[in-house]
Amino acid sequence: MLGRPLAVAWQKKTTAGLLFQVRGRGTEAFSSLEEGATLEVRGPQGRGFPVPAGERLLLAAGAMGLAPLLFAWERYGASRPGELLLGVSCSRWTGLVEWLHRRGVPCTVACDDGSIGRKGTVVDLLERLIRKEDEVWACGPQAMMVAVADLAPARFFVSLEARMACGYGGCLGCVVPTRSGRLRACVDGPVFDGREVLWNDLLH
Amino acid sequence: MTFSTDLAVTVGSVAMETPLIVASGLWPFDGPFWCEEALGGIGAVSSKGLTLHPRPGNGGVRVWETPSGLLNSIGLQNPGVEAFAGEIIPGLPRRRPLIANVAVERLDDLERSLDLLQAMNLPPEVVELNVSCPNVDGGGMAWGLDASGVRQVLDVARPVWRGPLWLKLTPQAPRLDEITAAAESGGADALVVANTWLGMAIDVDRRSPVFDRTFAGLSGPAVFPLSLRLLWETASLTALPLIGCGGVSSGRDVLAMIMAGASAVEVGTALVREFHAPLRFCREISAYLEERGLRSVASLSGCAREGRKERR
Repeated sequence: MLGRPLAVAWQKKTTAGLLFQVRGRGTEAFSSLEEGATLEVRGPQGRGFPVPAGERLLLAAGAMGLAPLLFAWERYGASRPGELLLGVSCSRWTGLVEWLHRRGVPCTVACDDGSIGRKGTVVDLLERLIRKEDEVWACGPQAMMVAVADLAPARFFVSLEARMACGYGGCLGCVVPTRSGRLRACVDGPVFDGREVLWNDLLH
Repeated sequence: MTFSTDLAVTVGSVAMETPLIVASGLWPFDGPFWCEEALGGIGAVSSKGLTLHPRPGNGGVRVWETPSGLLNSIGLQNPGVEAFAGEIIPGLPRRRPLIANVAVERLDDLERSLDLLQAMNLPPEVVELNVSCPNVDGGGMAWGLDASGVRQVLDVARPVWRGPLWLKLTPQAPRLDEITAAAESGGADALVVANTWLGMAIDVDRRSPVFDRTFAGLSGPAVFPLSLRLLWETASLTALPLIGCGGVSSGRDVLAMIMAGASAVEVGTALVREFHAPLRFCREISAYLEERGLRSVASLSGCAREGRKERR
């Protein structure tokens, strides 16, 4: 029935790369696609990250939230100081981490059970690193984003995920509570100013 | 927007270039959507469901995919009639008949809303009353569930709104005969058959209903046969013009509704799947007419009923 909103994780010439975890029927269908299969794609939709202006650009990814931040890293990582931080839950994510290393992406990893990288969360990594003049971009589970928001970065942007139906701004199925009202993740987002999002309402 | 055959229809006094109306809740107020390029194949647009005062809508999950369908619980997020009539619509081009979908909760709010719409320099061509919302004054049952609720709503709306007044029925109403009689005697100009079908979903991972409000409205291809049957039944009960609404996903589905007695057909969830669905439907309808040497789609209205003995 519905399309699936996915972030572009990298781009090379005319190829766009997607990263996804098999979670339900949609991603299951993606995972069983064969080479040469045709997909119907609508996009790019909505608004992306702004041009970074902070002293350093710290990218905080929670698991699959890596996708848009990997794209950001490949766009800005070489040209300005910053770090890519990735938090995962357990050793099931080893494949993703190894894939990143093979890709030559320098990335600090934290793992809840300590089986990969440092024991802890991506928020722990960020907390140790963050300085007042830094800019933080985050994408991941809501609880992680709330914890990042609590660190109160001066410039803070988040890429949010929501169940989405129309994807063009009509149905209001994917709204995010913000200081400017409930805004549509599909066209007003998915990137929002993290200081504008009403995190407590989002978690309800 | 030209097709090789005549796709124009009328619903009472409302003329449209095609039989397709964008159902309420699908069309953004953003400017680009009101330009010709986005409106291909579309005969008229029904607005988001409007309440007198702005509404933030429901919290929690709002949309949920089902087999061939979509459950939604948006909760009437809308900017309010004042902003709609005073700022939003005057700032948009009017390239198609505009249908203001008004959600009925309180009768005094309804009266005030219609006053504001009537007072616009260029009022909407149609008001479509959504009577699937709870009667806030009277126990919370939807207005459209019984004849007395429908009649109360029309008794308030009809004297205030001078233009075409459409009533969007709820499929949850048990007595269709009584509802249609109340709509006729209350002065409705046409009936939209119908709103979404109540359903629900449980997230078995969370062991809890998906939606904060437990129940949600089901739309999409899954409901098409149900809506078609309800339309057919309604056409047996009334001579009012009818607008089909519920799960059309092809030109043939639209034709089926027209053959069952609809003058026009609303398209909703199909847009979610395919934004240019109305244009495709029109091309399919046009090809159907052409292959059979038929000149107009309007001539097919109700044709499937001919020679059928009505059995109720």
